[in-house]
Formats: sequence, structure tokens, C-alpha cells
Amino acid sequence: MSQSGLRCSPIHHRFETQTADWILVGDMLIPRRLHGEEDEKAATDVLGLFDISGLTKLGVKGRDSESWLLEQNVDIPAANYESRRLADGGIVVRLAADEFVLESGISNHDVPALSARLASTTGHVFCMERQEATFLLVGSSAPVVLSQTCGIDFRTQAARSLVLTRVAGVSCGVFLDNVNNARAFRFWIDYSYAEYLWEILASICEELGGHAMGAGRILRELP
Amino acid sequence: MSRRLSPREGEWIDRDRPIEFQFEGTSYRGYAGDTVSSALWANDVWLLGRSFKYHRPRGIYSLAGHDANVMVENGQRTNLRGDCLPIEPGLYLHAVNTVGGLERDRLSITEAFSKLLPVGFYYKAFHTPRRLFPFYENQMRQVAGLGKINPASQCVPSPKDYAFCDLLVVGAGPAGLAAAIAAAEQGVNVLLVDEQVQPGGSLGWQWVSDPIAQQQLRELLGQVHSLHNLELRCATQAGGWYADHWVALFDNKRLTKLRAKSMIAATGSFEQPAVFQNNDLPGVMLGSAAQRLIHCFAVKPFDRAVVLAAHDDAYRVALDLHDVGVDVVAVVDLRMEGGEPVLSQRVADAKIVVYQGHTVYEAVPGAGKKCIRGAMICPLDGAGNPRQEAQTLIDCDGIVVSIGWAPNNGLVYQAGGRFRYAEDIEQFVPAKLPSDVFVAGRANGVFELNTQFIDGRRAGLAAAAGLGRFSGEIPSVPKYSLTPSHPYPIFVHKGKKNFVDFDEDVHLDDLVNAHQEGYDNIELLKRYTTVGMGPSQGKLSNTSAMRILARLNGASIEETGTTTSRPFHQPVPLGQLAGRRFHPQRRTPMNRWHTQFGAEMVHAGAWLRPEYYKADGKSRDDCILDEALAVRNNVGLIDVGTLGKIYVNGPDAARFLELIYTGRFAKQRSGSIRYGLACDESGIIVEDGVVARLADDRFYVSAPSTGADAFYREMQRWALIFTMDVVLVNATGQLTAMNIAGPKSRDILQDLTKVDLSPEAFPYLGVREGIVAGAPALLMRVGFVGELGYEVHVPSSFGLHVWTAIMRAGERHGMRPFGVEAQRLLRLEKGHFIVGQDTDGLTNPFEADVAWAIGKDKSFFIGSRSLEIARQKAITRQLVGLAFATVHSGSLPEECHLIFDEGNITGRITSIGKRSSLGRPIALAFVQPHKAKVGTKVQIRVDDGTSVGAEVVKLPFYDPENTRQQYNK
Repeated sequence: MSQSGLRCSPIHHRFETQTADWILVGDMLIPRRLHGEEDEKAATDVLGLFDISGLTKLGVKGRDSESWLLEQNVDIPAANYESRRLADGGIVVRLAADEFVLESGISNHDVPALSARLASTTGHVFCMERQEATFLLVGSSAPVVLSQTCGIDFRTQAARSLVLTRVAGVSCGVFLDNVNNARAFRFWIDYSYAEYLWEILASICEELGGHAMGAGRILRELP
Repeated sequence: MSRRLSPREGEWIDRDRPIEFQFEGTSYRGYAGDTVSSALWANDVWLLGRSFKYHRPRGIYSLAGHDANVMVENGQRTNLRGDCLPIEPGLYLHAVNTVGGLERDRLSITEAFSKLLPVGFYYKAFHTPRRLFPFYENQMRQVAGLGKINPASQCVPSPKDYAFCDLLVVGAGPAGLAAAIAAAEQGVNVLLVDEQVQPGGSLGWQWVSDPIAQQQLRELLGQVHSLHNLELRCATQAGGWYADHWVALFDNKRLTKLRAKSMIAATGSFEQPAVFQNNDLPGVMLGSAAQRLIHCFAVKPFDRAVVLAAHDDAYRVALDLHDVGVDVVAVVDLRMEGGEPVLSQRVADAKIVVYQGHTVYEAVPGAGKKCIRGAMICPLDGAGNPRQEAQTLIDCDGIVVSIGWAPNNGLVYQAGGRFRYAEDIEQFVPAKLPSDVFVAGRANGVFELNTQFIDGRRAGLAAAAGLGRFSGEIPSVPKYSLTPSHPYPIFVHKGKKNFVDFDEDVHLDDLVNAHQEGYDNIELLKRYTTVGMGPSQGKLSNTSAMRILARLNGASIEETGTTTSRPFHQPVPLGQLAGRRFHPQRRTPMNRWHTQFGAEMVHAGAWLRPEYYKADGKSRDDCILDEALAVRNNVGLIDVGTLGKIYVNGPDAARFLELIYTGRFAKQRSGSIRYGLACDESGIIVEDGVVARLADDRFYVSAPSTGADAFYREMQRWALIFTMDVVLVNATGQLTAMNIAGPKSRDILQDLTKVDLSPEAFPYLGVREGIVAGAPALLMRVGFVGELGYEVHVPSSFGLHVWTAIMRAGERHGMRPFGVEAQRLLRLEKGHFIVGQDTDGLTNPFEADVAWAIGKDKSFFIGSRSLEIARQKAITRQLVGLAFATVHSGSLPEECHLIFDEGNITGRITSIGKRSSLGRPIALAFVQPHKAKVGTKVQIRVDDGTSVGAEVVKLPFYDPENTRQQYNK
């Protein structure tokens, strides 16, 4: 699964006419920049929406999944919906006693390696294809976007935890991220619903003075 | 602006921002902060609306949105309340419900026939003769209603918010402010809302002349702004309370869905009208409205006024009027004993005459009833009835009514609160409240200003205690010290219009007549007379109606009871309820490609699918048939990414599938595919699909598009019930799929993969894992469309790449994409049914002729016991193939058209292909068993009433030997 540029973000076509400046993240081309550097910096402080779907994901499920991940030297959280960092800066979240989801960091090292090892593993541990799109919402008005689309009080949720909920009417994982010491929201959304959700989030961002932006700036901020 | 006063401290208007707007075609000027009503009154415009039924002239009455006198429309939106609608530059307004304009409303002639139009007249007058009812109905629809919806108006997107707080305080008046501060000081997260644009409640209009009260207001607002855990939202109304502490908040552009752990209703009260003749005309106004005009909008209400009083607040109104230069010619006090001594002395010092034990008996109308020219007052007898023989006319242009209040307790009722009537203060007060709902201030029967602060603080601390934030002593409810309302401010002027409900033009005689007809229950009276059913929802009429009915019944108010309070407490624009439209839509990774290449997209459940690909100069049917023929004769590619895709892993996987499906899977070889048919407990077909075995403990299930998620949930349920050791994964959105079908499909696909596609290595109903065009893929050799074909399943992010790679590889073979309609035709030719289209909620496998899919000697599967019973019964219908004449003129049946035999329904069409690769129309249909024999002729009735003949034929229509899909060369 490591062929360069064969993977495609569900919203790739939306940027084709906007930019020719792309970067390869996890074998997927995503826009590096959509606006001027200063515009993107200013907008990021208020409200910025980024497509970082290139970050590869892996689901591990089965009663041996915890022990298998520990054997792979993955630091795993004890409680459901809590997270830990992967060595490459990615995330591992526990969804249940026997289920985990992992998303790679920018270097895209750990998840592909674990996927390869899992394919040849026997026992009660199974690979779950995870092709969700990942969108990142940052800026001071980001909570307003959530308040218009989701019925969860995110103020009461712990940092770096995952909330499985519905956003704009579709099932979605919202990971409470931290970018530049400010709260950010990482959406994990089914590939088939991703373009719909992007349209909703982007339109609300526009109303609130924010923008969809190239991921070049924000990727520098991520581990 | 002839009535505008000089600048006043605390006024809501911004005199630096004049605003021009139009009303009824005339331009007016107001200031930012003005409402339509206040700006027009400032311009000396008193005729602001027409009443609902008799089209009587109406002006400002409450100036708080508690009445519906001033309803306007701006071309886009209608029924806007002028009392609350801020003026904006360019506003172009008209009053609703007029014919020929507000000034010369031709429908005002209705009043001349009012004796013929009592309440309920339409129930009695128009039901016979029945043939004329459509005429009557049309006429009534022409004249009934208020504003008219403009169907061409633009949809204005309205956001919808979610919010959360520990404590919601509704009402930012004295009690609400004190309550919110008291709770916030204990660390409670408080949201304080008020429907007015400025906080302060009655402090902003009733107590403006009191410097101590104004200092208290400043201090309270200072505290509010200093508390970081207290959020104040003005111009926001709490419209309804729902289960689980869900409160609907509305501001001028959005609905906020608030979850509040507890609530304090400091909602105040509605000032109530008195009932006397012509009490509705412009110039008759509530005392609170007059004070709002003066203090909030700096508008002089009248030049010469009479104040009708029943409590001491009315004396403050008289003094406020006097202070701004209104000639207050009389205070007409319903009380025999008059007012409180200090206030009475101040009124006397202002040389205002007080008539104790008197009432206003009639507002004497001016020209066209568009104003008043006097107040006819009478002394009251010992029973409170006017002594008409002693009436006196007082010249005036305004009558200010300040006789009592009714608590604003609708929200508390909705929250489960119950009230009792306290006769010492003549209003309802809380009797029983939910543990997390509190009431403070006037709604709690507390009217004296200082005690409102105390009561608010009590409620705030009680709420904090309930939230675990306060453990000290909670003050008790202050004792009522005032009687703010008159028990029966209703004065009969026989044969005249003494209005009880201004919204619906219901007057005293209407209620009396209804009572005589037997409507002696408050709910029945409401429905028959429509009292309280207008846009104001009875805010100014329910109390009077209740008092009138109580007296007619000779009962107490407590015995009479109140009507039910339902959300919304105030009218809400429907657009705000709708909010931002969320219509989730699923798209396959190839969606963009389809639209770029001319696909006409169609909704299939939540998915968008290509119905067919448009070709220049060809009709839809031609395009579909061309696509089908391409598959039959050459090769085509279809996006089947919408298929349900479910992994069933684990040691019990095969055993589990034998439970879910009717067939056998335990001995299925790895690398092979079997058909799966699933039934529910009653033996009804609920799903079908293919089951691919990838390893001993790993299966991959492909299910039809629309029911996949429900089927997955059902699988989860059964796995739990039977404690199966399986790991289920719904990969429907994680993977996408495409089906390359047709005689040349193998050649094209082989160019893109190292998987050996030869028939020996990869036979029909085989499954292989490999790489296709560089992407990890699962290949399944299936034959849904009846040709050699391969489904290619890949991770969604690779979907577009693999699709385009296959299309590119197929270019030299003339491959073309085909849509869902061509696929449906191709499968119809093969006689494959679609669950949900060719089956319904009662179809079992015997009727659908798929009993072969039930595993022999299986001891148990979902639905097995029901099917065992069904097997022993004769079926009542059977799915068969129908063929129509090769050459056919006239209409052909549609799906669901009925099959008739000697006038009896004997079946229905489930699927039809009006054009097929076979050269004639074909269909699937349910028929009664005696009509299922091959060669039987049937007649189908079509939309135009004619019958079309068809013949039952053997299925499948196409390639009965299955040589093409099993093509092994």
C-alpha cells in the first residue's frame, strides 16, 4: 500500500483548480497552500480547516490486540477513548477493550510498519481497514463550528481524547487535539461522507471568517 | 418626529444613527434601537395594524411582543412583530391582513356584519348544502389568515447551535439578575437570557424615575459583567422546555439547543388588559407600553391621557406621563380605597384628579376608529359593576390601562411545574416544582422591587445548592406584600364589543354565548371561541377568559383552571426551526469521475450513484440500452462502491454465517464464494449477497447497497445473542468496489494484475487477494449481470486510481462505464431479484423461488423454524418472469402495476425492462400460483386504464445455461 501518490483524498478535486502546490503525505497528495502565507497565518488564528487525510490509519481488533500492540512496543492507553503518542508522532486511541485505532504521524512510519506486521500475524487479532478522511479544525472560533454541528459539550472533554459522535448528521470521531498549545479538533470521518462533511464545515468556517487552507503550515505544527 | 422626546438617560435609541424606512409606502425616520412600532409612534403614526377578523384599527398595546396588533411583512418575510422588529435602513414594510392598504382596508366592512359572524359561525352556517362547501371554503380562505407567504422568497440559511450550562436563568429583570449573580458567585456556570434587547427588565422602564433602583441596576450589571462564569444573552427568548432539560433558545437568527442542568424562571409577568367597549383601538395602551415608549424609546405616548388603575404601579405610570408633558386628566382607580398614600400624594401634587371606585366604561372612538377622543367613565357599585347612569365623558387621546398582571409561567409548566391560584394576590403562583426548576420574582408572586432582589438571590442560592455548589442557609420566599391585580377588570357594555382577545377579535359576548351553548370548560371554551389561540397565545387574554368563565360557572379560578402551555412560548420563524440543512450524502471515490464523464446521478439511499452516462443526441433509454449491450457484447465497468462490505473474522466465523444465512458455509473452501440469503425470525427475506471465504477464520460479505448498515447491526445483535467468537467489521466506507463485466473483462483486468485470472486458476465464484494497478485488492468472480466479470474491491483512497487505470486499460477494447439502470436491466435479464424491490416485507424464499438457497439438513438458522412451517403450507404467490410481445404499441406497465384476472387482482409487476438486449420487454412479477405456470397469459392494467398482455416464461430470460458468466475459455 505504499505506492506514491496512488491514494487520493475524498476532497482532492476541490483543490485541483485552486493550487498546484502539493505535498505527499502518506502516499496522498494534499494541498500545501491555498492562500498567501500571511493570509493563512492570520486565518489560522481565527479559524482554519485542513485536509490531512494522507495520514494513514490502522484498526486493530480482537482480544489479542492489546497484547499484540504491546509486543510491538506501542504505548497504549488504559481507558477507552484515551490516546497515546506513537513513536512517529502519530496517535493510538483505545476504542474498546479489544479495539484500537492508530493514525500515523507526518513521517508515516509506524502505521505502515504495523500494518505489514499485522498482515502476517496469527491469533485473535485482526486488521481493520481504516480509510477515514482526517480534517483538522484550528483557531479561536473552532468551538463555534462544533457548536453548530454537534451536540456534545467539548469543554468537558479531556484533551487528547476521542469523542465518537455525530457531526452535521453523520457519525464521526472527533479527537481533541492540541496545536500550538491551543485546542484543535481532528475529525475522522467515513471516506464516503467526507466530502459532505467538508462542505458543511467549510461553509460554516466561511461564515465565521475562516477558510479551508493548505496543510503545509499546520503539518509543521504537528508532531 | 413630532412625538420624540428630548434625550433621556438610559434610552435604547442611538440618536447618532438615524434610519430611514418605509411603512405602507411612506418614508419615516427613526433611530437605531427603535422598533417599527416605536419609530412609527414617534412619527405620530397611530394606525399600525388591522385586527384578524373585523379588521378594526389597532395601534401599540403592549410594545413588548405580547400582543399581535402590529404585524408587518417585508416582501420576503411575513407576520413580523412591529413591537420587536428593529428598524433598519431600507426596510419596506406593509401591514399584514389588509385589502387596499392599512388606511382604507376594504375588509373593515366585515365589522358591519359582525352580528352574523359570532364565534363558531362557520361550524353552523356552511355545512349544508354540502355542494356549496367548496365555494364557502374558498371564500373563507381568501379572507382568513394574517400574512401571506411569498413562495418566491429566498431561503435564508439559519445556523443551529448547541450550548450547555449548569444553570439557565430566564429573564434579566431584578429577580433574574440577582439570581444569576448569586448562583455564579457560588461557581455555577450560568447562562442568563432575556427576550428584550437590554437587560434590566422592569428596572429599564418601570423604575427609571427611581434613582435608587437605577443605581441598583448599574451595580447588578457591573457584577454580571465581572463574573466570568456568567454569560448574558439579550434579545434571546427561551421558547420551550423539552425532556432532559433541553431548552430551545431563539435569537434573531438562530435556534440554540441548550442543555441546562437546572433553570430559574425569572420570567416576570404580562400586563393585562381591562375589558370595556373599544378597549382595542389605537390610543388604548398598557401602562408598561407607555413607560417603554417614554423611557426606552423617548417617545411621548399621548398628549392628554386617562389612566385606568387597579394598583399602585399605575400611579407611577401617571407620574411618568406627567413628567414628560402628557396632560394626565384623570386616574380612574378601580379600587374604592385608592392608592398608597405617598404615591397618591405625589399624584395629587401633580394636580392629577383621581376617581376612586370608578372604571373606564368605554373608549370613545375618534374618526374612523383610528384613534380615541375620550374616555367614558362610570362609578362602580358594590359588586364592581359600572353604574351607567352616572357616566362622565373625559376628553383625551389616550387611555392607559394598568390594572394587573399575569405570570409568565409557560416555560415552568412545560418543565413540569404546577401552579395554584393565590387569591391574596389574584394570580397563579408555583405549587409544585421539579427539584431543578426554580421560580423567582413576579412569576413567583413577588412584586415589590426590593423583595424581588431577595427572591432572586434565594432562587440563585437554591439552584447552586441543587448543583452541589452551595451548602449554606437558603432564604425563604418573601411574603407577598402587594395585591398587584384586580380580580375582575371586566365591564359589560351590553351589545357592544368589549374585547377579551385582540388577536382573534373575541369579545365578551362571544364567551357568554359559547358558555350558553355548553362550552363551560376552559379547554372547550378555548377551542370553540379560539380565545388564546392567536399569535399571542393568550398572553393577554387567557386570564380574562378564565375569570369570565369562572364567574359564568359560579366557580373559583382554581376550580376553573388554565389551558395547557405548549412550546413555543413565542412564535418562531419556521426557517429558524429548520436551521442549517444537514442532508448527509455518501459519495464513492469515483463520484467526481462520473460527473465529469456525463453521468446522470441518482440517489440510492444515502448514496449518489450514476444512473447512466449521457451521450450526445441519445435518449435516456437509448443510453441505458447501449450500456447494457456493451456489457453483453464487449465490456463495461460499473461503480459498485456502494455495496455493503463486511468482514466476519474469528474462530466462529463460519458457524456464525450459518446462523445468519440460510445456506451452508462451514465446508466452504478458502478462495471461493457462495450466495447468501438472510431471513428474519419470521422467515422473511431481509438481505442477500455473496460470502467470500478468505481463510478458515476470515470471511468477506458483500451485501446490497441500501440495507448494508442495518444488516451489519443485525449481525452484531445476533453475534451478541449467540455469544459467537467473531469480530465483525463494517468496511463499507473503508473499501470501494467496481465490477468489470463482459466477454473482454478478463483481458483488460489481466493487464493490471499479477493474479492469474485464467479460468483454471480463477474459476467462476472464486475470490483472490492481490494487487491491481498497484493497489491492494480483493477480486471476486461473480455474475450478477450474467457475463464474465470481476468485482475489484480496494481501499477507498485507491478507488479513483484503480478505476481510472481500468478505464485506461479498457480504452483499446472500447470499454465504457455503465450505470445502475443498465445493471438493473442486465440482472433482470438474468432473473436475479433485488431484495426490497422484487421482494417485500412478507416475501419468503419459497415465494421468491430461492428455496434452493436453504441448506439441506441445517438444524438452525435465523428464520428456520418459520420457514419449516411455511414449507408445509401452499404458497399464495410466486415470483415469475413475464415476457411481452416483441412488437408492442401503446403503454407498457410500470413497476407495481397490477395483474388482473376476471376483475380480480392476481399479482403485480416488481421490475420491468421496457427495452432489453433480448429485443422485447421483460418483467418480474408476483402472481398467484395457478398463474405461475410457464406459458400462462396474464393481463396487466396500466395507468391509462388499458390492459397489456404478457406471458409467463421460464427464468432466467438470458443465458439459461449460465455459460456466459461461467465462461471458462
